[in-house]
Amino acid sequence: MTLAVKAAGVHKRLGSTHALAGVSLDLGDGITGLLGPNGAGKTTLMRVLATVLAPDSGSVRLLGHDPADREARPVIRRRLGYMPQEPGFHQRFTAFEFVDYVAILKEMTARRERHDEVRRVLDLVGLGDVAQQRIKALSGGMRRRVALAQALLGDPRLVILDEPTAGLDPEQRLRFRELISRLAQDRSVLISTHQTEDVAALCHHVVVLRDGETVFAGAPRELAEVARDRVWLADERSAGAELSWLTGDGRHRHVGNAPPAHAELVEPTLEDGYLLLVGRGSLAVAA
Amino acid sequence: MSSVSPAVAIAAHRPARERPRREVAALARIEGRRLLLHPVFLLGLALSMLFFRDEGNGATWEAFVDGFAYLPLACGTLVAANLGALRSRRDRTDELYESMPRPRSSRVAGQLLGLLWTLPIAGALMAAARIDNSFVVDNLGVLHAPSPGQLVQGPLMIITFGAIGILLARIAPSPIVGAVAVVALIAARLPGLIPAGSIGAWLVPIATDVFQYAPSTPCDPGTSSGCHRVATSAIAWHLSYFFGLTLLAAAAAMIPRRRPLGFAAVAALAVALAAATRLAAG
Repeated sequence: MTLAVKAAGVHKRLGSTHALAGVSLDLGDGITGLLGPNGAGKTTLMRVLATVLAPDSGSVRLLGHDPADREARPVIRRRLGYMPQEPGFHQRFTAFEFVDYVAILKEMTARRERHDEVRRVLDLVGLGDVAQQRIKALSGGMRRRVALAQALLGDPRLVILDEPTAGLDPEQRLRFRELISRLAQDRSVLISTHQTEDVAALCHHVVVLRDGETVFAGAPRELAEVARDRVWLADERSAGAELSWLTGDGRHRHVGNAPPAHAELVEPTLEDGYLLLVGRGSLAVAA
Repeated sequence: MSSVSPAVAIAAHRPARERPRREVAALARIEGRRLLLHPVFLLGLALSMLFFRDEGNGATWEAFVDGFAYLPLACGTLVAANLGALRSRRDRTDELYESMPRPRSSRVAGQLLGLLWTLPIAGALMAAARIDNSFVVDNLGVLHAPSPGQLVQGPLMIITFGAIGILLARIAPSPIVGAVAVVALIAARLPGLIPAGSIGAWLVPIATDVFQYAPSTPCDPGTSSGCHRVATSAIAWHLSYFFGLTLLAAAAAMIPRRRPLGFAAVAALAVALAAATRLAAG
């Protein structure tokens, strides 16, 4: 079976910044979470995979095609859904008009069927009732759902969502998780996010980027395992911990190699593993 | 989730090089409708309608035949089309649109074709002018039957201005450029700035500066405006000018950003055509 994404040694410079420094990635069906701190190269990688940016070097194959090939690029794009990190909107358009406009650019020409498809995706993201409202009248969360709706047009085989849950309230995030988990049954979905709980709840596969390089690729539980035997709860703050914070129950959670005195070893989470990879102790762990 | 309509599924298997006529037609419908509803376009339309004031000296007839009555509407079209072409930049949707199968040129083609939606408006203006009666009868009761070329030039001027507005969005992507262009066009009409008969007069798309005038008979020598009519021999040149300008603006607007040589070629062709037109016109 053809992998949805197969990237090897991808480099991309943006000005003087080496945004991607040899990223390799293989994605099949299911949901992949892309984690990383600000400036790690997540959005640049998403833009490369969305065929918006061309890599400086390295190879990328999307849905079995090379996006550098001008003939193949539209073939890829017809089967690609993309939600940018900062999706712009035509404020004077209604939600329906905007998604309809995008549908035309996705080559859906038969008017009646196109409108049916627009209604379908708007219903899917829960915006059927406000489809005829102007986008400028919608809340930030609703606008992100409009952006998500357009990414779902035409039943794409590869869906790339750059921080789709930013600005969504908890209920909307849960609805989003439900929707995406249904979507991913027969396609490949790549989600870039800062929300480790979304990754833990949704993703079959996690990739962590740091400084333009892949520092982890595996299952979510494997990411949690990175922090195995390195997470403690204690009553006192420890100066030796890589990361330490006061939890809601009044105890300090320590992540790192140096346990404080009388600390209690606890089960690591995906977030602990991620913090160890990209946090202050990342160099030691990565080595 | 995978219940997709046949039309949508078919789209995924289209040949890559298929001509995008249907997409462009669908985009043109949207762009055309938005153009007609744009406040600046409506303002231009309102100003053009002011020419219907019957001053009893045949001025309405002249204004419609030489295209002057269409000038406010054409200027409104220029600004509205310019702002429409800047929409994706202004609203930051370019990144999303770059991930679409249809390239930018399809959107520009849709915007250009959307200009055709102004034709019914221009036609309605003309019909209203005819109903107003001053279209065909001057102040002395003489019937004037405008040639088809004269009837066409106003609507064509509107489309030309719209195409220029779209081109300006490409070469100078700022919302004030369209307005500046309109001010420049109006300034060019100031007496003495561009003398009648000079090559500059040909660049100003108003017929009065470039047409050879012939007195209508009978006329009242005491009034200059009522005594002149547009010579049909010049109208063909003027329409050619509009038509060529529209095609060149459209071609230049559609050339991809990464092909500056193509843009330079179109610009060179424009200069050559302008020079040739000037020479041919004597």
